[in-house]
Amino acid sequence: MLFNSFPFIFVFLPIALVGFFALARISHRLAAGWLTAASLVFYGWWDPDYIALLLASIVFNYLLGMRIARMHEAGRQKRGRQLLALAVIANLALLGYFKYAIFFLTSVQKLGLAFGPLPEIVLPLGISFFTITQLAFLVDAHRGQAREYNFTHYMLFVTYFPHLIAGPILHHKEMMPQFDQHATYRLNWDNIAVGLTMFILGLFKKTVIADDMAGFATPAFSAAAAGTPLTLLEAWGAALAYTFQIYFDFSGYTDMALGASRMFGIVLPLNFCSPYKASSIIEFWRRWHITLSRFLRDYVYIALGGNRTSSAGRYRNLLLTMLIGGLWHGAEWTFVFWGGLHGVYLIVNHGWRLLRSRLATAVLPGERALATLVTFVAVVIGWVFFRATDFTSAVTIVAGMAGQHGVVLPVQWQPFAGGVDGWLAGQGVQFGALAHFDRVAQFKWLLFLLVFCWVAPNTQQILAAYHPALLTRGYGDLGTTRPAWRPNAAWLVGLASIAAVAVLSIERYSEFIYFRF
Amino acid sequence: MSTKTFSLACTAAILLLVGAVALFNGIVDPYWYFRAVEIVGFNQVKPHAASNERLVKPALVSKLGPDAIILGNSVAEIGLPPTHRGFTNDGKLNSYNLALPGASWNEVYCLAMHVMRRTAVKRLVIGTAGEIAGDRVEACPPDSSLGRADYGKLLFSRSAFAASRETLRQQSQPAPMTREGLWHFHRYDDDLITDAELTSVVAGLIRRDLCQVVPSRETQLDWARVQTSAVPAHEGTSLRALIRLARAKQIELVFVFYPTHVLMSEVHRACQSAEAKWNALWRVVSIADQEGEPLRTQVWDFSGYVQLNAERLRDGTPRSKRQWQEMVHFNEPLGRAAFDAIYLGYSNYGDRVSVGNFADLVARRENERTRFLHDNPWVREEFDVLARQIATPAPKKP
Repeated sequence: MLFNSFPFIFVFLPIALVGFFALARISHRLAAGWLTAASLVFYGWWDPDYIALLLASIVFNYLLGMRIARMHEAGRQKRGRQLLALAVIANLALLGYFKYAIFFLTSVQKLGLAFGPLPEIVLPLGISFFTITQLAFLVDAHRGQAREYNFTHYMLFVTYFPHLIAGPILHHKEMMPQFDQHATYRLNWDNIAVGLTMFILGLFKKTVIADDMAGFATPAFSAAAAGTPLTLLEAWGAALAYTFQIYFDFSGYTDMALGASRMFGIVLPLNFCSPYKASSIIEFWRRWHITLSRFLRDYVYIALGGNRTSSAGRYRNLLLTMLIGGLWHGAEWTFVFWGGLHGVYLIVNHGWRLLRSRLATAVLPGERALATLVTFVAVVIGWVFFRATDFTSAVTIVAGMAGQHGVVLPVQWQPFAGGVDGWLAGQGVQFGALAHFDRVAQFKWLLFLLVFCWVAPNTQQILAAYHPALLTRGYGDLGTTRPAWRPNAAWLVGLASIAAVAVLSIERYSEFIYFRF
Repeated sequence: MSTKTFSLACTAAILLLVGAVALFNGIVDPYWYFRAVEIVGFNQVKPHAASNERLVKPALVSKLGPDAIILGNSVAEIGLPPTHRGFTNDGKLNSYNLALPGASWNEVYCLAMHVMRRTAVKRLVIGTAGEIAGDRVEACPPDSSLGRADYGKLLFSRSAFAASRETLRQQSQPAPMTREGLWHFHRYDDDLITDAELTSVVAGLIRRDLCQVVPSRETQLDWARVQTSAVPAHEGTSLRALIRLARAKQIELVFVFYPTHVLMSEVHRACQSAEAKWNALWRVVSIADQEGEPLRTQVWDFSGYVQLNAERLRDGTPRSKRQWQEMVHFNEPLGRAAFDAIYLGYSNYGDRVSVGNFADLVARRENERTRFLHDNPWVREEFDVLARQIATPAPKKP
């Protein structure tokens, strides 16, 4: 079921809420069970066949997690490590079969090693998310950091519908205490109002902005995939449109997930925090998909040795972590390349920081703005590889962005060229019809979104007074800002209006980009 | 304001706003699905009815359950009149034109099977330019989804709201579609496009779909390449399934090979072959002969070299008074003439084709063509102009 669908908004969510708080008056365990059942319905809406797989994964990991934790308590670290290794292998095998088998076989086939027809394997929704959520639980159990083993709560922790399909990636230790609190099971109108506000803001980002951007980006990327070279403006238009599509898609999803959860009194961790305001790639990864970055840092980078090695070893670990991060997003070489590209960005960024600290130079005026722009351009180039269906089309678009396929400006702009059109022609710039991004309004819209992403406060800042997310420590700019949300008439009218526009914009089945991962 | 008041008031306001928009869309009914309120000067003209046909037409057929249905692509949608008195048995049969622009044989087949299975249709006309002779049909969507109205898009959508506002604004304009599903296309858009531009568009379509260079030499029919042996039983499976279902349900089924402009007939003949058209017709005739009942399954061809199919492209006649929109889409009067022949027995246009008369028809049409081209030298002149236009793509507009 999609958050941005009529059945979810008008049927599922109200019933789940009413049922939860009604049952909570009788028994907290019953309410938690209700929420788990509702989450399974939410998951099974896509394909009920995979509920069994999800349940099997939960039972297997829960039982092994219990054993591993007991080993830890009994001081039998070696046996615990063996069990952990078994559990990790089993989980990765499951993920490997459903997500990477076809990729592996296709890659082998491309190397010339022919074999029979490839099997058809359907990727179960959310498998990447529920697998790594439980992997983190198993490791925490081995480290003695997972302390609560109520099976109903564990089921809810994994299946909880606001995060099940596309995150945030939850930590056992930040969720279980909330499932245990009495306050969670009491209807709290502050939570409902804050959750409703976040959900509406997220819905608007998804249905009005992200889906609109998809309408710009998709035809241009399809044209590139079909071998059509894109001129400079078309290529930048395509790359920027996707840059904003994925931004508002993921930001919208995250707001909706956190908002829906907040209505149930459960606060989820911060997962998205104005990433295009980042002035470095290191900062970008502290703002984009924060819970994935945390998982990669805690369970991959540190496991590989982290910083406890030479500079070269540290950079190698960084690159490997980002390659794995890229592969986690999808079984395509373009994702691996995207991860590797960000790995290289991070290495360059760390190297630059080291150089700056050794040179001890002062911060120059305008340096942060320039750094933000450079970071943004680097991210945009990365998104081209992330979005493109193959390397050839990605390279076509990047070449177009570099002006390799010519510079054609919309003919409507010619009157504004004044006396310089002759000079422009001499530089190879033409005025003519563009196959994509032929309307000036499209560029105005892209420019507006760019400024919006750089300047406007985010949902966390707007709702800061109501603590909308966990893990906000270290995000200094999340203090209360203007316009700060208050339950007043102005916010009521504004929110209801954008909610109506957002609901009326649900015109087609439009998955969130992160649902595919 | 307390958060409780805020939450409840916000929820109520959202429901109220969305409900108001839905009510507005339902009353204005821009896609002509609900048909509850129709007021002259308010919402009677539906400028957006033709832009969302795939959303509305199949669902509307499920809702209205017409007795007589027309299927095909835009040619049938623009040209075949659902209100023809013969087709409707003097108004005794409710009728609807379910043809859709750009519909492939696959889509036409799926819709035909759907309406035969799910409605009490008694009479079905399937318009074709020969593509139905193809075998391959992908799986059809389930009947439950084909005939289902998408209320989200019809009522609860921004695009429906925008269409409703446009509907209110454009009541003084000519109606683009009739309530029975006949689309006027550009028939009443006199200023929309010049004849020369239109010819250029058609030249572009021919270049894309048929051939980039039209051979100028005269193409003679090779009788040895005209198929006249029965189509084997393992071929034409989709067409056979369709005819069998019509027979089982006792539905009158008429395949109409569209009226074809003589210039387009010449282009087809030059780009493909003189035999291609006849072989496509033969496949349908042969399969209909094998699977259908003679009285209930008929095949008609209107592609002859006659004056109705020979309107000059550039003679300055206003578009609304023409028989043809360009060389592909004919207007309703020609469709009426075709239905006159099929349902009223008039004999001045088209031919009913059967296995028995097929060879005679081909011979007669070949003679008819020779005579017509001799008597109408302008056809060759316009053909040459068109061929040059096809061979020389228009430069892209700056």
